[in-house]
Amino acid sequence: MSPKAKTADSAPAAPAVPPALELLDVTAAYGRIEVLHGVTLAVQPGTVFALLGPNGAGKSTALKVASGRLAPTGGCLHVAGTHVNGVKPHRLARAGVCSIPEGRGIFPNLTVAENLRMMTFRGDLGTDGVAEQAYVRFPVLGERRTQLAGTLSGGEQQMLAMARALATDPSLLLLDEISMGLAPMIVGKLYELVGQLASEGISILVVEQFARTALAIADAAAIMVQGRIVRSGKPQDVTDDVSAAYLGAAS
Amino acid sequence: MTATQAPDLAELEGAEARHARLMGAVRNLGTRAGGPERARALLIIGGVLAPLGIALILLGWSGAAHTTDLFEQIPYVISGGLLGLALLIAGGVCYLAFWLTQLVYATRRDAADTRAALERIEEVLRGRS
Repeated sequence: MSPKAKTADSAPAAPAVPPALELLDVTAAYGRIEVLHGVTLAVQPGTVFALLGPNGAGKSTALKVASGRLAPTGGCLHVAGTHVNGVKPHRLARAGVCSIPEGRGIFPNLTVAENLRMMTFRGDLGTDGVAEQAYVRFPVLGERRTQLAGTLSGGEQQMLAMARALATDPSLLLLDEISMGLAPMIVGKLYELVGQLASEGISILVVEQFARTALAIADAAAIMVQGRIVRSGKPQDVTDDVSAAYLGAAS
Repeated sequence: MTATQAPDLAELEGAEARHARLMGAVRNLGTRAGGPERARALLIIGGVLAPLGIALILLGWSGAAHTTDLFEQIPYVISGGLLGLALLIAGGVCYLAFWLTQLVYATRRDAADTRAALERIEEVLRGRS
């Protein structure tokens, strides 16, 4: 299927490698209600792409499509240049596409250590390796390894979710509203970590309602309103349009 | 509107390694593009199975009608009647699936047209006010 939308890549020559994630003219629907109306975006390898927009813009739906949890009704979903429309999310996860959903997706009734143990399905690291790696990156989780995940603070839960994601050694990380319900200082720390992960070569698509923190570490950004990308480019190019889009002017 | 951004890949050794690994991992996950092709396949399958089922039922009836021996009629009923009925139902389901798919596509097209018209009206009204 050839995408109807023009590609607006302003680079003089196409990159030698395909993007880590590419949505081409993607439409998606819940039943008969179409939510995404021809979304086109590309996350280049080792970069952070921030998908911004007001509540109900379709950002999380775009992330669901990218992770395979929702099959697109039209357009193309490409991961590392391969057409993967309709591929099951667990197969994408095993390939290295890791998603942290809104609400963190941890097991609240299991301890921190048990939550980490659940993530040893991929990679060469065993249970101890995964836990050690997580505790080095997030020392606070090491202190709370026997505590039930549901009793952790919001920031610690998000750290646990990140640690679980990193245990899979992902190549492409999809983050949905990691700042949700967290104090600004914690959010800042989490986004510092996101920037650090990108510098380690992980390609990251971050969906965020609070634009400022995400734009600070993003290499590229787009604003989504009512299921459409209304503005895209470098973070400094979209910064001025964020307020207008959130208040309804860009739609 | 699109959202793409090309990085300087020369600076991204770690990214290149991860990306190469991702490319290798997803290579055999690839699916073929296209929903309309699948709908068309349903139509073709339905169009073949349903007439085949009818033909088998007619053949079964013909065979059973031309003998008075019950033991000779049973194979005609099984091979012709039941198999034919199964094919007819399967073909009908395929055609129904095709028809429903077309209906959903048409509804989405109509909704998109309506939305576009409303947006145009909104633009005009905004211009007047």
